[in-house]
Amino acid sequence: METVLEVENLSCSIDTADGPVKLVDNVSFAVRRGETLGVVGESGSGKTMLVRTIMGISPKAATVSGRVVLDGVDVLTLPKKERRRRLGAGIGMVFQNPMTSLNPVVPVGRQITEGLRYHRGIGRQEARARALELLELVGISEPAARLKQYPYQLSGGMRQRVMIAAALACDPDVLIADEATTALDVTVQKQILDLIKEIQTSRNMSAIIISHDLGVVAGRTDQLAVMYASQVVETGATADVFRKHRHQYTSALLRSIPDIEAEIHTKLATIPGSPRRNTPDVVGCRFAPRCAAATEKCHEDDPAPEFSEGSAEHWYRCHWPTPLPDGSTGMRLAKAGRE
Amino acid sequence: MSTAVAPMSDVDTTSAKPLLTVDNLVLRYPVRGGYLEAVSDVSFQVARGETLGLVGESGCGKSSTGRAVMHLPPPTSGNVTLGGQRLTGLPRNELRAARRRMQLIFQDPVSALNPRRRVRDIVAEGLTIAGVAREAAQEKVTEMLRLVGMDIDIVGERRPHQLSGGQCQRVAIARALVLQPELLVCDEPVASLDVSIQGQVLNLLEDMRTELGLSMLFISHDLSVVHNISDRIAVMYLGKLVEMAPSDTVTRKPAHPYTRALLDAVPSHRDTEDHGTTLRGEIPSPMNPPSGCRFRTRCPIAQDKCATVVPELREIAPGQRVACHFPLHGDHDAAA
Repeated sequence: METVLEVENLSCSIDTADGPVKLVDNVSFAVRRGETLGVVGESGSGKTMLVRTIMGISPKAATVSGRVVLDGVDVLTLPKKERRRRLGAGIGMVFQNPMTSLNPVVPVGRQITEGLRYHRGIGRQEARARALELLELVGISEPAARLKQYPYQLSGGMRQRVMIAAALACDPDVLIADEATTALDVTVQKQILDLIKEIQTSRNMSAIIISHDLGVVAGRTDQLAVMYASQVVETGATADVFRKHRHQYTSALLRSIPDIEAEIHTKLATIPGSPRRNTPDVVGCRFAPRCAAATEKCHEDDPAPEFSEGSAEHWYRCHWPTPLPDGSTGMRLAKAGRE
Repeated sequence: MSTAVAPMSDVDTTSAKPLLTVDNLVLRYPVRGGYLEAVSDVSFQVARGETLGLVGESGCGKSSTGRAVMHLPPPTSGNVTLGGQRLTGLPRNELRAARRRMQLIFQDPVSALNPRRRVRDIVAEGLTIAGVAREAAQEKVTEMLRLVGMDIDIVGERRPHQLSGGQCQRVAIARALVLQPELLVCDEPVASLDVSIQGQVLNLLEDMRTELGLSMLFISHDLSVVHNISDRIAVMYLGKLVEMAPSDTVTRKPAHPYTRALLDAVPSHRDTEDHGTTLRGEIPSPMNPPSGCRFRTRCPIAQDKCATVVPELREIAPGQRVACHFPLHGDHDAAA
């Protein structure tokens, strides 16, 4: 399958009084046409900074290195205008809070077609017709009336549908949903996730779904990258990461989620301490201070990516990887390890 | 000086009667053009040492229910009885005294704490107001912080912005528990925390419940979290209770179509392609709820009757009550 978006050794760092801090630390991945990549991590792990760096909207003071190859072109080397044209049309973005990412004083119809008119230079009439189509596509009833409405007149779920319509306007190759369903109720979240899947299938579009919630990416993504302290610490086919996870952080994270099928009042496995931020002086494994399996080596040596047995895609950065399960699912294994 | 935090003498601690009894609770807010009924005729009980989970989507009235139980604000009608003492209609000063027996924990721990005060003063505030002497209060604060896993020598002088979200929630829990309440109302206490921290706080609440014999009303939108911590679960939709049963029954054998839909919508942490059925539409406006059963506009199995007759909460299996004419199991509502 053809690779649509490839990110290679992407780093983004910013100078502080104590030295450069890495906001994105040497991240690489590839998204093939029609496939979905999930990116999970806790708050502050660098998920959003990764997206912003890819889109060329990292902070002004930041230093970016590495490659972002979209449809065979390394967009980071392009002049600003050209980069904007390629990224704006090739990648659609949906953000967490539709109320703040939509302009409150502009009717939604105009917001949906803004990108279309900018990138494709089409006229008012044609734009309106396209907006109607898009609203219908994302499942909004009475699209003609909605075009003239303002964001405050729509519910949270509807606003997110409008955001998706706007993101799809230019027929992007990749849709990036950055915590797109986090602010929504679970029943609406499911509608939106189903909608993204549906559109992806019908257009053979790729997607990157970014979430703090492992449940959102489970069963909905082909590849999964787990981020911790600005690094991807484990990545591979989603099924492998869930069932044959190797990194101590991945397995601790999976164990700490309450399991609705477990007994009530089950003690939850916890990860001590709180997520760390990358500082200039960081050495060794980023997760070592919170890791139950950490040894002296972990505090001194930064673990290099290592492939999991028998896989050319599944790799992790851990000196003491968790053993592979014997055919059983990772979740079952994780459960047996509970206190 | 007396330790005003001890349970009051008129509290009934011996009998098996429930600690909290809520009868026909109604909470209406005046809004332009009428009233918004946030809580409609909700009744439930919480036994001593029991945790009742209250789940539902945003706008379903779960927080309003928790607030009305605390009389913050007092309910529009209905009764709240805590350990034999009727709270509804109590004069202001008596209500203040009675409120000490119930404490509240909020969603956003950082904004729930006064940013200008030190942790030791934040935790001691309730005791100070209750008239506990400085020395005694300090001792209790130290002990309570220790119980929630914090060292007063390390965090005592800090202010909330110097702590992480999880630590702030620990301080909030310590502040609530230092008054030795009998009932803890937790309103989305882990919703703003990272998963790795969420577990720490849930385990702490669970430890506190068993250690101090607390009762809890645990409000959350997250069914997995509620299932883990609760003995029983009550499901709310548009201001009404639609189902109430032991936790395992709710998650394994739900009777209300809404409970089923909510369970299907919980993102499964198992990597499976099967995501169950998806509910149509969104929660209607509480200003103008649908006639009959309020869920009927989104219900996959609604029939004509659902539009005209309001389903009563009734028992369909031991301990399982549901407000549905056509529950997913058990007898259909033949009488109505």
